[in-house]
Amino acid sequence: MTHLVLSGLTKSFGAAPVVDQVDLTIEEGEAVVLLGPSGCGKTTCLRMIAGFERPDAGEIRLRDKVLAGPRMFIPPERRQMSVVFQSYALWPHLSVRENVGYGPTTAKVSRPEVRRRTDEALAMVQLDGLADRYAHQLSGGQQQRVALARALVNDPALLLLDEPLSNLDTRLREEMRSEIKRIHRSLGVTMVYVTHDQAEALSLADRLVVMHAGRIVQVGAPEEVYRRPRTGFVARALGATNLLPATVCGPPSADGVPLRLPGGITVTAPRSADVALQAGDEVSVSIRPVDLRLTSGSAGAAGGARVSEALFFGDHVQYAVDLPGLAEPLKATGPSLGRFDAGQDVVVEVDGTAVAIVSDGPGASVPGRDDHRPGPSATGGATPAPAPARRSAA
Amino acid sequence: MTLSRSATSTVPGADPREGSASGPAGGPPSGRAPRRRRSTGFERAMRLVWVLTLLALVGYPIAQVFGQSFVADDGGLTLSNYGLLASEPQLLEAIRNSVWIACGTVLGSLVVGLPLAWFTVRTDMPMRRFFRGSAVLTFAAPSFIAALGWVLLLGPRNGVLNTALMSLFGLGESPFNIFTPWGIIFVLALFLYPLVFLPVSAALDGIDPALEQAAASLGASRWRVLRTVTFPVIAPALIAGSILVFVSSAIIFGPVAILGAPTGFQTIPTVLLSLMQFPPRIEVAAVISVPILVIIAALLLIQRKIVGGRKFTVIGGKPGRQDLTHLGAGRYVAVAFCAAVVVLSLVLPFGMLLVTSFRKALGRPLGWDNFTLTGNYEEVFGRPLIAAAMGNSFLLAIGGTVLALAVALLASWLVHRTKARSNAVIVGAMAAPLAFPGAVLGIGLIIAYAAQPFGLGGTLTILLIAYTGSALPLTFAYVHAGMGQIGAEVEEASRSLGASWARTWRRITVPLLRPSLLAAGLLNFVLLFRELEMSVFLYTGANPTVATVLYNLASESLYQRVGALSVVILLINIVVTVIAMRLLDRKPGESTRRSRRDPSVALNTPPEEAA
Repeated sequence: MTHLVLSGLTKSFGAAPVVDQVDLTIEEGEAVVLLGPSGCGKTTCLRMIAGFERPDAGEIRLRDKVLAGPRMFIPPERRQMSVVFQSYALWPHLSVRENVGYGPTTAKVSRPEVRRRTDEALAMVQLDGLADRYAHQLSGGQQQRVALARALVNDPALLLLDEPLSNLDTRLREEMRSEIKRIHRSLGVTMVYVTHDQAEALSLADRLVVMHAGRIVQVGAPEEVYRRPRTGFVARALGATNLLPATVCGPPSADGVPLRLPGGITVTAPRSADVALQAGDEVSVSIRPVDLRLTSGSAGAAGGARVSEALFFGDHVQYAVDLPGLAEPLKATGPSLGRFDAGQDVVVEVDGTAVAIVSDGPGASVPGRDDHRPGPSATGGATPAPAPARRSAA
Repeated sequence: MTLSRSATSTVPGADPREGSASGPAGGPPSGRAPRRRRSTGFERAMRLVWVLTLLALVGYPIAQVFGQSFVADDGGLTLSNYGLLASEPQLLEAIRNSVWIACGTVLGSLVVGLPLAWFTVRTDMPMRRFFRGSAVLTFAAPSFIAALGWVLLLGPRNGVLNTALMSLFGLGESPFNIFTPWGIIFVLALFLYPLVFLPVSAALDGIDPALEQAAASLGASRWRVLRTVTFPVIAPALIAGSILVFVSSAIIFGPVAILGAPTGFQTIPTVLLSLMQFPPRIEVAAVISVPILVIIAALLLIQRKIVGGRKFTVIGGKPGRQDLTHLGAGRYVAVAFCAAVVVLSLVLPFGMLLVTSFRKALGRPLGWDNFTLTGNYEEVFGRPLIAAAMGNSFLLAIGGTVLALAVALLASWLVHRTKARSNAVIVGAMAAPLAFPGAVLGIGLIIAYAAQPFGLGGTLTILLIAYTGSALPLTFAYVHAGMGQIGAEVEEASRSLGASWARTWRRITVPLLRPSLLAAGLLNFVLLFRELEMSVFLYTGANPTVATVLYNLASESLYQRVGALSVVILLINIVVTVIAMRLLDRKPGESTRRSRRDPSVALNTPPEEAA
């Protein structure tokens, strides 16, 4: 059932549009993650949904009620949405119980009922024993749990989370991630989650919305967006990748598009829905480092290359591989057993199904991404940090 | 997330008009955008209220001062008034004297304040905390009462210290005379040094020890570290503090009036007072006020520039982690120095007043036959004039404090929760009264409101206007800082949970601001209760305040009563200050107070958000 609809949503700060003609439909019970670099407009979107910002144009509808539109604006307190902030925004002068009970108390619910609901919410986030503490007596993770309980206790029509985990350290972040997933599953609450962390985005989303410069660039199931990014920007937003030039070396068929990659590698990639291709076209492709397989071989063969750097990470090894015809070394990830060393000759093999044809070139910039913690985590082995571009001395 | 940050701090989210669902959608903020931002009616009304209030309290009186300086005898416009500056030698001399007093006081404050700052922050001297706290206390103590104490100690004829020194060393005449420019500088430096000490010690506190350790690890000697790392970091604090000392001492009235009067030594504020006495020469007073306002404004702007970009307190690192310099035997010298400062600035002058309040006669030596426990106090409180003055001062201090808090709340709400280009003006305007010497503001109020149609001359109302206006900068500084620490998000969280703007304000914003409101309120009460600088100009004999009564008692040389009344004023000061510190030291959820915090932190930096 359609729950929330954004149509033509636009907002500018000063002259620059921050959110530009955003259309999005969110189904009941769905967890939608807005992913993008800082400044892409995802937080402003969330704040417009919450009612903290007024859209310049466009409309927000919840079920069949217009929340914001031309000559219409419902203030945040009448929207039944709960927000979990990056800063937690717990009230330091109120105890945990008073913080969590604030919503029901404001709604003039009877005292025992407030207590019951507060206890229930605290139990949900596993903070039963801490009701009488104050925010400054809690750890960061506990504070975030309180913020979550405070948001859930109101039984919101929509739960809005604005980078809720980015103030936590890596271990806590992973813990809270599965916690949020669990709560979402058990309560079935509709959820809009804003983040710049691809691990959070991929693991929490039922549907992933990638934003760039105020616009939505791709929407889809996390796996689909990860495997079949439509642009180089989306490919990079979801983790390390190789963006390579390729040539269509035969007529596209139902099986896919035959491609010649640098180094003489030929593969058949799945067809891209966006681009009509014919033989001879130049395209860009995205290949994840884990999808490149290195085998021992000689320099002359197709895909023959030389390892310029090998970084050992325990459970995997990150390689930088010099492939003839490429200025930048390829990034590849391999198992740590049977690893290669820098200077060794290898053959690069690619499975065609792992190749995604994208609509912009390798040069497509990803502004702002480097400002952030890369956020690689032990579980997300598929997201290694980019290998250094140092060329080998050979 | 630069974007989300900037958005957070500028949301018109606390806008009650949003309650009307049919309200127009807010446009983008004003700026380069072609579309104007349509602020809501409530916001515009609040802005208007603020503008009118500030105009009434400060803007109109100061404009009157400027205006009056251009009015000729026949009512036409003229520049000829400014010719008076050259033709009246006493005016020029007063300006010269002010500059000379100010320069001397800056030097004196540095001599006292810098070593004190270094000793208390960066060495292993014992009792560091005590000395730090006493500097704050000095600042809260009234300077003109200290000056009265010094008159009793170092007066050329009967000064207790003078007579003691004379008999000790068999001197033929008193070694010191407090009624000289040197005496004035001495008293002012001991009172104003905290203006240097506090920012410099905060800067020393804030230095990331890693900065100095890095320099030391690169082979720099201790002296080189001090010169190349430490000093540049504290230099802005030092210069900014010195400018404040300069401005304050050039325009301070009380001590100069008390110590300069016997020899006719006049500075700007005292010459202004004599100009306002019958027959008043208001246009001359206005003429001398205008250039002073301009110069002070310029100096304070420079000071603000220096402080502006860098906050001494947050240079980095955790305070109090620095390596302390081991003084060895030098510790005793350091303690002696600091103790001397405390004795000279607090113990001696105020102790002397206390002693005097129990003396029957000044001329006779101290002793039991010259002791009266309650005589002077009975005398003081037996007078209806003084009882009335007490009542007036309480009323005015409370009234001024409450009104200033209301204006400051309104102003900081506008600055933090609405988005308009003009918000920068608000911050400047609220601090502006700092640049107006009490004398000038007092004169402005007389020109503006004393005569018809207002006819407020000598009334409590005009005093209330004066007190409120002068309390604005400090009040706003606290409330503004407090509001700045309450992120818009804590209010947004409340609203998204179903609370209206009014409920959010009542349940979240004001409770979170409570420490700032308390601090500002209590400090203002202390300062306004003994206000002299403006009161002495506005006083016409009808509505006395404790300070004007005290000032008149001193001019009549009734020093036993001066002592008794001073002690009462000081007691009230101390009690309120102690309450302030206690209240500020508390955090929600803590039944027991935390280990005694540095009182300077409690009083001088708005308390940090309890999170």
